[in-house]
Parts: sequence; C-alpha cells; structure tokens
Amino acid sequence: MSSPFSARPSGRRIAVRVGFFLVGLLMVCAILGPVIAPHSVDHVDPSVALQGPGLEHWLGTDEDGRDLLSLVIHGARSAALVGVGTVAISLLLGTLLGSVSGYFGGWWDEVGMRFVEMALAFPGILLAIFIVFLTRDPGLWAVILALSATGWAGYARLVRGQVAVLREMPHVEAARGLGASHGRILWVHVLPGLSGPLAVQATFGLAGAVLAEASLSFLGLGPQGVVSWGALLDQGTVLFLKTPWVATSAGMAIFATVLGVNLLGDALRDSLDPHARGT
Amino acid sequence: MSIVFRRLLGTAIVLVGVVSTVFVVQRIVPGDPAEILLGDHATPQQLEALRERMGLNQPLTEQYLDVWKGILDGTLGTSQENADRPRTVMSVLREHAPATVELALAGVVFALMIALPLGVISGLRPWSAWDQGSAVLALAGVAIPNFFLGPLLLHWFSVEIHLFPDPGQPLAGLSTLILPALVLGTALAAKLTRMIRASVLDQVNAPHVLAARSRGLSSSRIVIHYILRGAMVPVVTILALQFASLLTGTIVLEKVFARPGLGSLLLDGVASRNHTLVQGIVLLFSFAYVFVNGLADVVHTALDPRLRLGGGHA
Repeated sequence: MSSPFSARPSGRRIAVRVGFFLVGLLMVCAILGPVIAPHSVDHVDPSVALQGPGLEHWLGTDEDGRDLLSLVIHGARSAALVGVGTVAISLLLGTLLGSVSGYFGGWWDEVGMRFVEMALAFPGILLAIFIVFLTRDPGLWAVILALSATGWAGYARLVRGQVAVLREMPHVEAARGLGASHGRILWVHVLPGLSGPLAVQATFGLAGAVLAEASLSFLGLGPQGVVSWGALLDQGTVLFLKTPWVATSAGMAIFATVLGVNLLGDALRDSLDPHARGT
Repeated sequence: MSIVFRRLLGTAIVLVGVVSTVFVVQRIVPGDPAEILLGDHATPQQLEALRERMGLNQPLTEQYLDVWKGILDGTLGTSQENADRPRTVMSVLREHAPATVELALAGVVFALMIALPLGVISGLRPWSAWDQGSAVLALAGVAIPNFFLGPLLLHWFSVEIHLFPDPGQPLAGLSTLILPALVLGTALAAKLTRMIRASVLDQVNAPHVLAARSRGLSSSRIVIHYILRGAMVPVVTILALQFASLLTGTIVLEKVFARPGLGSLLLDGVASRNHTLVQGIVLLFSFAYVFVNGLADVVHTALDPRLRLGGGHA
C-alpha cells in the first residue's frame, strides 16, 4: 500500500518543474511566436533547402528552405489554439449537459447519458477525421469543433457523477430549503465543488487535443493555411533519409508539449487527491 | 436476465445514435459534397448528375433509410470509386480488414508482453528501481506520437543497423508486421503498465489476499491465483477502452508503413472524396468499438464473481 510518505518528493518536484518549464515554453512560443521566431516562415528560398543544423538556421531548413526553428515556434500557436479551444468548448458543453443530467436526474439523466454514450462510441479521433473530411478548406475552427464533437462527453460524464453526489449534500439541501433557484444552487453550491477534478481532466484533455491535432495534420486532415507540427512531421517523414531534422524537430515539439502538459496534470491530480499519489 | 436485456437495448440505442450522428454530421457540415468533389469548374449539369448519382436529390428521410438499408443488408452501400463497375463498400472493406486486424492484434500482444511483467513487478515492489524506471518509460511512451516513433524506428532499423532490408524508398517497402506492431504497442504498453501496477497495488492488501497469505500459501501461488486474477478485472476494461486509440493508431501507422489496411483505405477514400467508403469505415470502426466494449462487459462479469450475482458493484 502506498502511503503519501512513500512518494519521493524530490523526483516529484523535478517533474513539476519540468512540466511548468515545457508548458511555459509552449505558451511563450504560442503568444510571441512571430516576434521571437528568427526567420519568417513565408520566406521560401530553395537555395538553402534541407540544410542540417547550423549557425544561420539552428535546427536546419525544410524542403522549401524555410527555417525549421521558426516553423516549430509558429506551430506552437496552432497547437495551443486547438488545444485550448477544444478544451474550452468541450468543458463548457460537458459541464452544462452533465450538471443538468446529474442535478435533475430522471429523464434528463437518461437522455443526457444516451448522448454521452453515443459520443463515446466513436473511437478516438475518428469522428473528427470524418468531420474535417466533410469540411471544405478546414481552418483552425473546423478542427477545434471537430475535436469537441466527442470531446465534451468525458466532461459530461465526470460532472454528472459528481453533481449527483453533491446535490444530496447538506449545504445544497440547505440552499434548496432557503428557496435558492436551481441555477444558483448549481452555480454557487455545486459546481465549485468539482473545479478540482475538472481542472485535472482539462489538463489531460489539453494534452490529448494537442496530440489529436498533430495526428489529424499528419494524416493531411489538419487546419489548412497555418503551420502545424503534424503536417511538418508528415513532410519530414518522407524526407527522413535525406535529412532527419525536419521530422525530429516537429516530433520533439509534440513530444515535449504532451509530456509537459501530462506532468502538470499528474502534479495537479496528486495535489488534489492524496490517494492518487504514485498511481 | 433483465440486466442482459437492458445492456442489449442500451447497445442498440447507441448504434442507432452512431448511425444518426454520422448522417446528421454530413448534413450540417456546410458545403455540398458534389461541389467539393468536382471543384469550382464543374458545370451545373455535371453537379446535377453527380448529386443524382450520390442520392443527394432524394428527400432526407429516404437518404437516412438508405444508410440503414446498407447496414442491414451488409453492403454498407455502393462505393463511388468507379461508376462503371460499382462495388459494395463491404467487399472493399473485407479486402483490407485482415491487414488492420493483424496489426491491431500484434500491437496488443506486444503491449501485454511488456506491460504485464513490468506492471506486476512495479506493483509488487512499489518505488523500487523497476517501478521508477517503468514510470519514466510510461510517461515517455504516452507522450511520443506513434507517427514520430514509427519513422524513427524505421530509419534506425532499416538504415542504421540494417536489421530490415533498406527498400531504397524510405517507407514503401517495409510492409512487415514487426515494426508497426512495436510502435502501436508502445503507447498501449505505457498506459497498461501503470494501470496494472495500480491494480496490483490495490490487490496486495485486499482481504482475500491477506487471508490466503495467513493460510500460508506460497508467494507465487498468491501472486498468480489471488493478486493477478483480481488485478485483471480493471485491465480488461482499460484494454477495451484503449481499443479506440488502437484503431486510430492503425490508421496513422498504416500510412507510415504503407500497409494496405483499412486505415490506408480510409485515407485513400478521403483523398478521392469517396463519401460512402469513408462513411462505411467510420461506421465499421465505431461498431467494432461498441462491440469490443460490450464484450469487455461480459469478460468483466466472468472475472469478477461479485458482478455475476447481480449484487454489489466492484
């Protein structure tokens, strides 16, 4: 049995720091991308195509002679936008449906949970692949909406379960007795109680969304007209024998982002739930 | 009996929901499929002819019933790849399915080969070097995208150490099973290892294990007959849920390794804008996923005697 004391705090602290550093790096690149990128990503120069790492181009260049480091920095923005956008929409929708299901119970619950089951019946990003396929010239929004189409269901299930428990709590009963409206009870007395689990789920959801966007882009079904790590990796895979740097740069960017967000998620979960420590 | 019936009914409702969702999504996503297929330069006559052929001119209820007709007669509709020589979607899928099933199964086997011993050791000896090592590996295994690990291993194995023949073309020739299965299994193994560890850790001090220990049974007997059996219950559920990422993993890896499976077929269908084919694969994958999770419920019941009595929930 693992007691909280058996957790190695030093390793944990390092993990949290690494997580913060990686996510911080992502956010800086996402927000300041065009400012800190050393070169313009629109600048095509075939004479310097497929160079290895060097002084002028730290990570080298791609097929069109574009600077890889700049491409990776620009890709952070697409990744962060899709990640945050998907989580925000899924969280909002899921919380809304889940709290109605859990709070009112009965038919609301039956119908709401059937919808959740339907959304969860699509494996992974399959429905997103289908939606992007149907969309003409998919942009960032199309990808965000496509990923949210099933993304909300996990939140709804979590919220529904928690709300069903919380609504029986004495303080909620008391609020009901005092004549508070359903909306007020939910908003003031029930939902704050599950901000912790929701934050944990949202963090892991962010990692999932970044990975999903990269997968879609790799399959050629990502947002068009923006720099995306997945698309860069797709380009790099074909070029792997000529230069491994294109694929490696994009792959490491995805890896570092997902790792960082997951580390933060682990830390958040542990700090909220001592029982989960070390599992 | 009523529990079985309720489950079946629930599954049926979910399947109806899946088909309806696939249908509704096609109608609410803006853009005319015929127009997208033909591009901007199509004449109105061409558009009209294609709409007619795709059944887009029929009333919505008719189109919806057509989807169901295709499912119930097992054809999944007519593939639009070749207007002169129409084939049913199912016959196309059947050709490509074995490669995908093979890859998915090999991936699961590889994942279990890694995750079972590593997870059990980590669970029996928490915070040992094995455990710490597997924790780091699990973190990395989850974070590394399989469409990065794939090309990486492919390059390393075929070019650097020549374990597999270098096909000249970087990715086309290596249609072997081993490498893609290795990649597919890695992420799964990473997740499974931690689950098995947590599950074993949970069982170590469970009452029935303590009772067995106090009766003086040997450690190996306790681990195999008492701890592992209980620990497998959540693993079956997790494995069924992970079937989803396994399926999408095959799509990605079939592209990387140029394997002629359902994933490659899906991407071909996407590229050629073959609506019925893409729809058919989406339906097939979703149905398979629902089926596997239903199966996991049954196995779950078989493994956990408490569920069989219809009493308390695990």
